[in-house]
Parts: sequence; structure tokens; C-alpha cells
Amino acid sequence: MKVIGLIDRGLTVLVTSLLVCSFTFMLGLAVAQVLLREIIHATIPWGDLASRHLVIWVGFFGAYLASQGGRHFHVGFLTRLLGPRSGPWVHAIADLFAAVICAFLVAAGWIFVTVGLDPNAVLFLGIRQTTAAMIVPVGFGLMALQFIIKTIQSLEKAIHGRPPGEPE
Amino acid sequence: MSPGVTGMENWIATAVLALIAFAGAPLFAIISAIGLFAFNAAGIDTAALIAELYRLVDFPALIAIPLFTFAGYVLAESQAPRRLVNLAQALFGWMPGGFAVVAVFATAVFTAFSGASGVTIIALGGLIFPALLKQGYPEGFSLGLMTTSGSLGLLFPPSLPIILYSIVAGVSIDRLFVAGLVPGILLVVILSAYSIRMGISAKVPRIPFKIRDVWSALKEAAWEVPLPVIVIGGIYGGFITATEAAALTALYVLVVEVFIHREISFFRSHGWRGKARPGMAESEPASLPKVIKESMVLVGAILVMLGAAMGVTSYIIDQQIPMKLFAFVSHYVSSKIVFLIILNLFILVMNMVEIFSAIIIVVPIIVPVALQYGVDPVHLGIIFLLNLEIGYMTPPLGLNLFLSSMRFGKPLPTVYRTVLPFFGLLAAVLLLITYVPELSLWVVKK
Repeated sequence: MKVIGLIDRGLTVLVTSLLVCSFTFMLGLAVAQVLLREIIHATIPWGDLASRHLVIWVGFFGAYLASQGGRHFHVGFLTRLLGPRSGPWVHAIADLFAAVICAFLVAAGWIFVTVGLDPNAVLFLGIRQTTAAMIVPVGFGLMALQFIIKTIQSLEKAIHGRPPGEPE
Repeated sequence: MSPGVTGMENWIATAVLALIAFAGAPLFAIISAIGLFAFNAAGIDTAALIAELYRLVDFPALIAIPLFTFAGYVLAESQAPRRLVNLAQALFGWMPGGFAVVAVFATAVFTAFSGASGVTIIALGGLIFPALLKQGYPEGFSLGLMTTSGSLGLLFPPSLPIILYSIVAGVSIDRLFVAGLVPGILLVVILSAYSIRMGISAKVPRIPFKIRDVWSALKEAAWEVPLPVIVIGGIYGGFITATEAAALTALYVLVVEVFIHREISFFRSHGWRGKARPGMAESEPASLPKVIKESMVLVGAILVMLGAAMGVTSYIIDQQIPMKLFAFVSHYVSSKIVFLIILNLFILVMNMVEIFSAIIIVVPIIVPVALQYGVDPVHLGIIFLLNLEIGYMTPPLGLNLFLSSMRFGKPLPTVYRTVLPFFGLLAAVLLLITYVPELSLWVVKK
């Protein structure tokens, strides 16, 4: 269980760092575009395209952290109706379902990137379209991993009545 | 659900998905499951689902979502809400019902910037609610006002639901922002008038107008005051587009709150939150990476659901489901007015559940049907968003009701009772805006 906690924390630190860096770059690029357009009536030719791709990257990193913090949009009133003993079981089922769907989306994303896109298409600065789009399978893969971790944690709580790592 | 499977299989799949959704599975996973199931049944490679998701990079307005959300979170984490309330009090406190009018104005501005995600009740509630009671406003009125104000301002730029609606419905974001101006002002004016009436009937003492107080509050909020002017004036004046406004707003609030006011630290927390300001809910320290992370968690949750819904939407359109729905509805409803009444009731119920989900899931189905009835897509957007605003405070499931009950420690039935007069006022405005399209469209057409 300690290993799972370690993986969880390590991934969260890594993704948060990537998120902050990507967001900072995206903000800088968006601001530079506006200022250049208004002041010297010129823009970075690849700026808008890069910004929009960065939104997707930032979005997937944010979605991973939403998975980690249980902050995706959900309805979930069943868990509120059930008692503290059955709640974790219901959570485990919901998280396992999300993990399975994310795994299917990883497979679909991989086919989209490797088969659906032109491997030689370059977006900007030598970055290939396939490289930029790889965030889709990678992002869903990270989320699948996180939902598996949450499933294990919920099962642990359901069986032992406490989350892993928490003192009895 | 899909033509490739039997009706019984459809029902079983729907029931299982509904059960898993009620168990708390993320909605993006539920929507993706529907997409995977439908594409599979129709013999389409599921990679097409991802191709639809990836079309998000083609939306020019996409970048406005993270940038405005970030700006709203920065403002919420700083002391800007307190400065905003102080300024509004200095300006309007002399009027009968002055502080209640202050509450209406301050929450409207704050909600527009913070994305109408309920953060207004959390961030401003602790400042405004006790002050309303202290000044002698009835508790029921004060509670109802705070609950209502949690979503007031949703029609003003740079409200996140407007941006999301524009992307999902394929309507110009700038036109929607302009169309929301008159209805938004109408709401603020009507709630202010009600507040003034309450201030007079409850004999709330008025604060004398002092130019010195105004000057002092203005000086304190000098850096935040230009913000609505930049965003609202810039967009309405046609000087900048909504996406340019998003970039400028994000940069501006970053510079002001991090480098000038220094209320959010660049790396580590040593800001004002360490001093435990009374009335503010959060106790977590505010640092820039933390604010970026928190705001982008919301953006991530929205984008992944939006992406999942794009695939399902393409399937729905491909199967001509809106057309079939129109054929069915038009069989029973031929009048545009009756259609709009039913639409209002339907959206109100949907929006009680969750507003961002409601926009992403319902709009692609509703828009083509409404177009068949001759409803202008921009007008429809305003109707939809105003319904969102009311849905937030509609008993029994509106999000604001729960937030208010939690934040002010009042039982839910009490909150339900106190919002009823406000619900009546907002519903009257909704009817007016629904049946007088010019209220939304005349500025757009100018």
C-alpha cells in the first residue's frame, strides 16, 4: 500500500509541475500574441496554434488532478444515501468503471494518433502533429492509473474501514 | 441509444449507466461510455471519438476558458473581494437599502469574473451576510439575497458559462457577451429595486455619503477598478476580442495581485492568509503554482467532459436525433411560445443538476430543435444562461442552496423558503427575456 501512495504522490508532483510549466508557457504565448498584434501589428505565426494545443495539454494535466482529488463533475447521490460501510464499495465500483473507460479511451487515442494522423505532418518548430496529439492517450492513461489507485484505496477502506496509510 | 442493437439492450445499457452515474462515476466517463457504445454499435472505429475530441484545438475561443478561469481564481484568492465590497459600500451605502444594493453589485461583478462556480457565496458570503444582519436587514431577506447572488452576473463577460455555451453551440462569443448586457443589467436593477424596498420597509439606517470614504476605497481598489472597464468596455466597444481580453485580464490580475499587492506569493506562501483574516473561508496558503493548479483542475474537468461530449454530439447529429426530436415535438407543439415555455421548464430542471454538464450535454440537442422553431441562437443562448442562473437557486437541488446552507449554517428548508421571492423576481425576468427577444438582440443588431 505504501508503494501505491508513493506512486500517487510522485505522479501528482510530476503532473502538477508539468501543468504549471505548460500553463505559464501558454499564458506567455497568448499575452505575447495580443501585445505584438496591438503594438507592432504582427504575430508569431505559430502562436495561436501552439496556444490551443497547450490548452489541451493543460486540460489533460488538470483532468488528471481532478481525478486525483475526486473533483470531476459527477452526480453520485447514491453514496450519500448509503452508510459509511457500503459507501467505499460504491466508490470502488464507480472508480473502477472510470478506469476501464479511460483504458478504452487510451486504446482509441493510440489508434487515432498512430493511424488517424499523418506521421510526417509538422505543426510548428519541428513538432510533429503526432507528438502534440500524444497527450490524448497519455492523458487518459494517467487518469486510468489514477482511477485504479483510487479503486484500490476505496477497496482498502471498504475492507479495513480506513484508507491506506491512515493510522488505525 | 443506437440502431445497431436491440431496444432491450439499449434499455439495459441505459439503466446500468444511470446506476453507475448515481454511484458517483465522473460524468465524462459516462458520456465516453455512451460514445464508445454508440460508435461500436454503428460499426465506426472508436478512434473517431478521439478525432472529435481533438477537434477542440480548432476552436479559437478555447483559450479564453483557462485564462479567464485563472484570472477569477487569482482574484478570489486575493483581498480583491474585500476591496470591491468596500468600494461599492462607499458608493451606494447612502441609498435606502444601500448595503443590499452593494451586495447585488459586488456579487454580480465577482461572479462574472469567478466563473459562476459558487465561489461567490464562499468568498463574499462571509463578508456580506454578517454585515447585512448587523445593519438590520431581516435574516430571511439577507439569506435569500446571498443565495441568489451566488449566480448573479452570469450574463456579464467574462462569465465562463457564456464562453462554454458559445463553443458548444457554435455561436460567436462576442455576440453572446453583447447580448447578455441588457438582460444582465435588468436583473441587477430589479434585485436592487427589491433591496431598496426592503431597506425602506425594515427601516435600515443609511450610511452618510462621504467623499473621503469613496476616495479612500477607490485608492485601495485602484488596481482592480480598471478591470471591468478593460474587459467589458474592450469587448462591448469592439476594441478587443474575448480571447484577447482573456489574455490581458490574466496578465493584469497576475501582475496586480502577485507583484503589486503581493497577496499571492510567486512560489511559496507568505501572503495575507497566514494572518487568518476573519470572514474568509479558506485557510490554505495562496501561492501562484497552487492557484494555477486549482484553477486548471476546473478547466481540466470541463475540457475532458466537453471533449467526450463532442464525440457523442457528432453521433447524435449523424443519426439526425435533433431532427427526429423536432418531428416528435412539433407533432404536439406548433407554437414557438409554447415551445419556449416547455424549454424553460426543461432547462430549469436540467440546470439544477449541474450547470457545466447541462450546457455540454443539453445544448447540442436543443439548439437544432430551437432553430427549427425560429428561435435566434444568440437569444436562445441568453435564455439558456438565464435559466442556468435561476437553476442554481431552484429548490430542491440548486447548487447555491447547498452552498448557502453550508456557509451560513442554516437548514436547507429555511434556505428554500428565503429564496422564493427572489426566485419569483428572476422567473419574471426570464419570462420577459424569453418573450421579448429584442431585449437580448437589439444591442447585437446595432
